[in-house]
Amino acid sequence: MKHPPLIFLAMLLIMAIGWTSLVATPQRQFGNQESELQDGQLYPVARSGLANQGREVYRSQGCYYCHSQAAQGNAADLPQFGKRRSVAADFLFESPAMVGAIRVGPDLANIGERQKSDEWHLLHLYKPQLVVTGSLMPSYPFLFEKRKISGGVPSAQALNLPPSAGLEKGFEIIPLQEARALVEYLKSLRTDISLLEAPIATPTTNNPAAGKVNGKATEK
Amino acid sequence: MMTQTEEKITFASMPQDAQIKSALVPCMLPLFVLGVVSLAAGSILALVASIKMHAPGVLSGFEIFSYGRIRAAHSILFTFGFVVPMALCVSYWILAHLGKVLPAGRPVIFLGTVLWTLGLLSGTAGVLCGDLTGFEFYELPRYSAAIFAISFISLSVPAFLTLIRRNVRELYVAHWFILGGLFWTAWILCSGLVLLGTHSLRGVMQSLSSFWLGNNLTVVAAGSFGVAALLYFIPKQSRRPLYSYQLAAFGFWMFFAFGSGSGIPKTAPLPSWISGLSSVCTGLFLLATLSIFINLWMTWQDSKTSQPYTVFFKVSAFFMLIGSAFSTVIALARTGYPLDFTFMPLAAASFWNSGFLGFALLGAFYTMMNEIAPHTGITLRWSKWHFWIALAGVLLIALGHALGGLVQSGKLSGSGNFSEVTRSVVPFMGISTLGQNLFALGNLVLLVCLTRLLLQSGKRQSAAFITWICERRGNR
Amino acid sequence: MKPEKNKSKTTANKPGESRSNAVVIENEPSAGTNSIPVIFFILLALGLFGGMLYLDRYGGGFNRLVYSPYAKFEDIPQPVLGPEEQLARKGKLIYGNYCSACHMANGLGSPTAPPLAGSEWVTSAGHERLARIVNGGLTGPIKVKGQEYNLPGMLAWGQVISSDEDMAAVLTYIRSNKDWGHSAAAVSPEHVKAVREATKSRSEPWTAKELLELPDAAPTSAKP
Repeated sequence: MKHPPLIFLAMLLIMAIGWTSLVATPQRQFGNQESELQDGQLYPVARSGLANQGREVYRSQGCYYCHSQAAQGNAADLPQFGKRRSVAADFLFESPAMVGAIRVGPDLANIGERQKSDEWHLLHLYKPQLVVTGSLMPSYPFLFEKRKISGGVPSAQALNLPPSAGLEKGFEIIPLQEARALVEYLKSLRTDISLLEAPIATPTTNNPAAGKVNGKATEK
Repeated sequence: MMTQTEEKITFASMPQDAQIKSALVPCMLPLFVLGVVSLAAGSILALVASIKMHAPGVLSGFEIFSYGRIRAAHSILFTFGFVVPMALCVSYWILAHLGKVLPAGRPVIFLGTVLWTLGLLSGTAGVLCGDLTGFEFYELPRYSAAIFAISFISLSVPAFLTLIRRNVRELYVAHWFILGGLFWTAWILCSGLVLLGTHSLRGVMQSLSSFWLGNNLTVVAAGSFGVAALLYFIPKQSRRPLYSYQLAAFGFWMFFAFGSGSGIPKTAPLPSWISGLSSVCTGLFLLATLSIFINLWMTWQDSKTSQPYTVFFKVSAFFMLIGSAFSTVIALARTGYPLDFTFMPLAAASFWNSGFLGFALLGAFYTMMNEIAPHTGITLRWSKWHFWIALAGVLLIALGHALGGLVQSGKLSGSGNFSEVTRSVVPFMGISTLGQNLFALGNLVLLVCLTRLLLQSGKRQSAAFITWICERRGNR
Repeated sequence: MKPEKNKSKTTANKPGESRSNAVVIENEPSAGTNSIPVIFFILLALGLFGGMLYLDRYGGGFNRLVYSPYAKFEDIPQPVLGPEEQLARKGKLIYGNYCSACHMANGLGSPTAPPLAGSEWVTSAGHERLARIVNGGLTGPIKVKGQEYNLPGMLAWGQVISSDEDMAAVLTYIRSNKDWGHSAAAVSPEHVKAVREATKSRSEPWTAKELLELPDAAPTSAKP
């Protein structure tokens, strides 16, 4: 402990061990994984371009500071947040992978399956309190454009706001490209494919006898 | 062993304390200003973020004040604006004083400070305009990371040179932690740039790297500077030697060996071995912080004198232990399971960042300012105010988050309506906001204190300068 | 500045014990010589042992496929599928290989093929007509879901999908595909074999008129 060069070498060794065990080994294990055939289809598949744009909006607004995208495999999460837990394969085409570590708002890993309505998402982004009473989510009016109704006919793209939104007569709210892209991204977030490492007990057919996992439910 | 005469000669030829201090001032003052301004600005942003948590309508119409962006900006200002510059000041101070040598490469330090400020401004502006990285624990836009990497090299090389040129060859325990901290920060900034900045990793590997790098930065690297400050200032101000050299060595190796593995949350979509390993490291890291705490506690227990700023360091040591204990409870599967995704990890982070690092560096700031500009009385008076306000602030912030986390954990595991869960947390966020208010107030006090000191000293300097000019004119 | 040599501060310096500072500088801190309390070694040993136990339970065998809450790979429940479900899954792959080029993965058809999703030809009670179409091919106009299709024709897939099981799989899949809202009865390999037997002398593609003349009764049992 008296010689700085020896301390430096020991630090280097510690750093190398830490890096090897927590960065290099995981990278070797699943850093280069590719899409695989799971449950009869290729998984994961890349998102559409609009959804990728939406991911950039998600990142730029810092949505991951309140929303996680990591459903857990336990009894508390499974009914409300998804059919299975989130795994590494889900994020293969995500760059950046915005996993999130806190749930001020609900987990979004499977939101695309829970909420498929464009209209709901757009209203929610414009002013969350309109569709979720008592919501703590801030509103994002800058993703929309407020303009005068031209020609007395509201645009087909305008949001159907309830009267409580307080919009003046003669004005309409049009979603901008960012809002549409973000909604497309949210709709693309699904974890409804059964995987080897995270199976779901849902059958592909309508036959009620099919698909029981080990004869009992998956939820533990 | 040298003879008495030889030693006298050697010691006499070393720079005096006063010389060392006046040599340190020009390299430390810009970093002080940077640190204090960043802390004040960062804590105001944290306050706004905390208000938005229970009153989401506040400032919601402005994209630049979007909640995520404010949180990201706060984290950059706190870690890179306050913690690292102040930690560097502490390093220069300790290395120069213990080595009895003038600080080396001061122009390089100044250049590094300028570059660092550029990096900070570009990073903060970048995140406020939406250039977030997507990783909560490593919010550093690429260009900012590159500037920080280069300027940190420029700021740390003089520190290494000061160490190499030291006149007193023996190393004190604080030296190890400073060396470790400098090396670790330099490496994290560079590897973060490569791993995350160049997009060479795919998918959830990015997330894993960001957790690991972020934890290494705030817990290990910044923590080791904090520990160095505690290990230097507490024995010095208690006028006792540190309780045990061997225990400090034990703590040092445990700190780095296990701290470097900790910090990967078990909620992440990663195979369970990764977070399992990380949780074990977090548990053993608690042993490291415990050993450091016991070492310091036994030192100050023994002390018969008390100095005005020691209380900052004592409280900081307590927060270090508490923060580490909270993190351990959260990380272990059995105890941490209900606390997943709640505010409890934020409470642990508050204890560690604002509590441990904040108080250690603030205490160091006040001590160093007092030694540089003594007899002003400003530092003493204002530091008392600041201490109590900041202590109340940090405790309330952490309490708000911890209670909110407990309430959330009770409800998240039920299958209740999610918005019901969020609503129940609102009063605790209010407590936390009150705490943020106080903490920000304390930092404003600090800012005012520094401004007054600078103005006073500026007046004196200008007066001396004018006198010097008049003398020269008169001599011609 | 007074030099102080080897000044022992608090505890007696035992012979042979190393000091951190041979020279103690005035006003600067130094480190004392107390030894590490034994409790720390005990805690370290307990911590390492506890860590090992923790990794046994939560380490997942260091396997990249083991995620919490499973402890090891063998614990991951593999879906137990009924025979029809297995057949349908296999059929999905075959459909993807051969049929989706024209009928599309969503079953909505294309300019070269009528839709399968919601088609009464697919979800009919019996499999006789459908099996003949796939096995022998189709030519001429056909009315699907109320719309007339007059397309160049469908190839006979009986040679390409030569195994009875494969043919049964793809037929089961299109008849019971949940995504298309179908829940018709499965087709077994024995059914396919019977159809092939019955039609082995025929080499031309079928027409819709001929098929409609066949009875469309549901098979009375899984076997013909």
